[in-house]
Amino acid sequence: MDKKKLILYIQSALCILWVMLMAAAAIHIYLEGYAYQAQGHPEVWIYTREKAAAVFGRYLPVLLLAVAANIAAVVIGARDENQDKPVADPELISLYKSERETASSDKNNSVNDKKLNILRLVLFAFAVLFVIAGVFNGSMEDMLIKAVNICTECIGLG
Amino acid sequence: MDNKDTEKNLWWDKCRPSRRRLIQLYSAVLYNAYAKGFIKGEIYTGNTKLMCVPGFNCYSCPAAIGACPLGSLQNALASSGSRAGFYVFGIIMLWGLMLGRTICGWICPMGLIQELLYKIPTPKIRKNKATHALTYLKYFFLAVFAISIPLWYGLKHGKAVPGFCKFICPAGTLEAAVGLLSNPGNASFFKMLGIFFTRKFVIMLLIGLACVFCFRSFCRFICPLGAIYGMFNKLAVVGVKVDADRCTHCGACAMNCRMDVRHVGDHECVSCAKCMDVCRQGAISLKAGKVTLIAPSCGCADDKADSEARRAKGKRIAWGVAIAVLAFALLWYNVLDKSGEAEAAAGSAGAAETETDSYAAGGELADFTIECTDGQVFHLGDYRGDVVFINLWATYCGPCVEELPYFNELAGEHAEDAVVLAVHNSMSKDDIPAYLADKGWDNLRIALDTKDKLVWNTVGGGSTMPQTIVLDRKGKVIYNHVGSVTADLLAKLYEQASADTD
Repeated sequence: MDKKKLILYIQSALCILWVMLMAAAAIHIYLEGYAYQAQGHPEVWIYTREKAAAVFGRYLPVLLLAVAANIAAVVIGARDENQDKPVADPELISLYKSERETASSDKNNSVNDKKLNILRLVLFAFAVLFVIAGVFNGSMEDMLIKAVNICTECIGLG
Repeated sequence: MDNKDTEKNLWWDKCRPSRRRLIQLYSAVLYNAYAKGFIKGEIYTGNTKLMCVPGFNCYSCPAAIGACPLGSLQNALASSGSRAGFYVFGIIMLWGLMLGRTICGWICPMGLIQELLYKIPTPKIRKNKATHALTYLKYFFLAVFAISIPLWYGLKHGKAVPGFCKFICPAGTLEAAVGLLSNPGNASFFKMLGIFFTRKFVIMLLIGLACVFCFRSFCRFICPLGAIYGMFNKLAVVGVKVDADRCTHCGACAMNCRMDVRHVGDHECVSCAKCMDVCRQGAISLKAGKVTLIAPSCGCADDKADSEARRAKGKRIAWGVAIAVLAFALLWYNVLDKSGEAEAAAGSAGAAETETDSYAAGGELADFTIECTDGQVFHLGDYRGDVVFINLWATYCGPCVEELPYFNELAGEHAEDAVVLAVHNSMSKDDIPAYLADKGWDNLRIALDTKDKLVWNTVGGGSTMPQTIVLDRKGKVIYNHVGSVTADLLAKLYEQASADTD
């Protein structure tokens, strides 16, 4: 197999492996901790800094290998050249062409342009009115209150 | 020597960051100019959080200086029962009308992260019919997680549940959760990690992995904010425009685009302007109204005034102003601005000492007196000999509202020797007694903290809620933690507080 292709596959495998290992470790820590808590120890922490550090440290070599593979790929210029190629599916190509044609014919229509401009102005006026109404009805302050306080569950802490 | 120089130039030409990448990076730094937040392990609490930034950036990220439009939208919907969130609707509409999905392509930090992940050299999944179909998934996420769940819980249960933030948002997990956890001062935040964190952490990893293989997977298939801005794309003032007179309908623009656009400027187009490079007719340009921001490289733009020299001069001025603004923002937020500092200091270093071991090891709270919502006065000193639970909560904090019934039950069970004081954050636009009317939390002593945050400051409350403090019969703190509690944990804490002094 071509050296460049090989490194792309190795890199993919390392990325997938690292993500799977980290995800599995998180699930494992949770299940283990939850089971212990359920045995009458609600005060025991499921996650601890030490556990997190241990997991990260255990799988750090995989991450480092992925970084090394990344560097190697950059050095030898390995990349999926197909990503820069245009779509080849004939069905999609004809879809794009017809869509472009429709869009252009819409653009040529000055009545449509006028309608869009009017809609834009109306929506803009509504948006400004909403902001002003929000300042007076307290929703602006509401937003500030929520933005300066952390809801632990909302960010995934629990 | 010459060869080496040429090689170096070639490498630089190939690898140097594009103008768009620099702008992405610039906006990511500007949105997160409060770098000090990472060091302190706290979020910014100044007044610029009155403003939604246009891109996707969690407002609980320690460095964030503005509010996240999607988080604000969900919270506004959750508060619909008390007041309509006109302000957030108006701001999102303004951003949409001005920039549309140009925001996604140019000034969204999540967009930047996704594009950097895509740079990892692996085989890539190109757009196809399946990815086209998957783009509609984001409307499902918008309708269900960002609109229906907050509305349902807000109106039906009087509880703030921002569905997308709570169950999916990878930005919240990465910027806020991981950002806060990575600070050594917040070590005790680990205590509250459980199923929510596990689920969101795994989702974040999977979305990140998808972005490595498939260009902007989150943006294309999941992002509700992109779905909203997409609806404004046709109306947006700034965006990629096609000159219909030049266009030959060859479709090269859509064929070469990595997003699932069917034609330039549709609801999937993020106006990255890459299609300008493949349009041989020079029909595509990035415009703000009638002003050309980026003209086609073939030099056939119709704007005569946009001469090369003028554009170069304009570019220099724009970059100069932008750098000055960024430098000022960094200086302002990290050195000059003292808003929020007093609060943090008074809150006994909010996060750093919030659930302190010193408290847990037997610290003693200063005595305080506060008036409750029923008109009676709560004086901490009167409860020596009882087990005291102090809970810091807010009506707009979903988990706070969820756990209060546990406290109510506990206070009812141990009415003879335990008391629960639930103190609402002093920042509130809600009528607390009206809110409490139908809750049936009759066993709780409920108070609204004073304007100068008397209770909050006494117990070391920060900007993170909920928080629970437990005092044993001698008045010693045996527990002081941020995060939700369960009925089992409360029972255990009661036992522990009773046993400690027996």
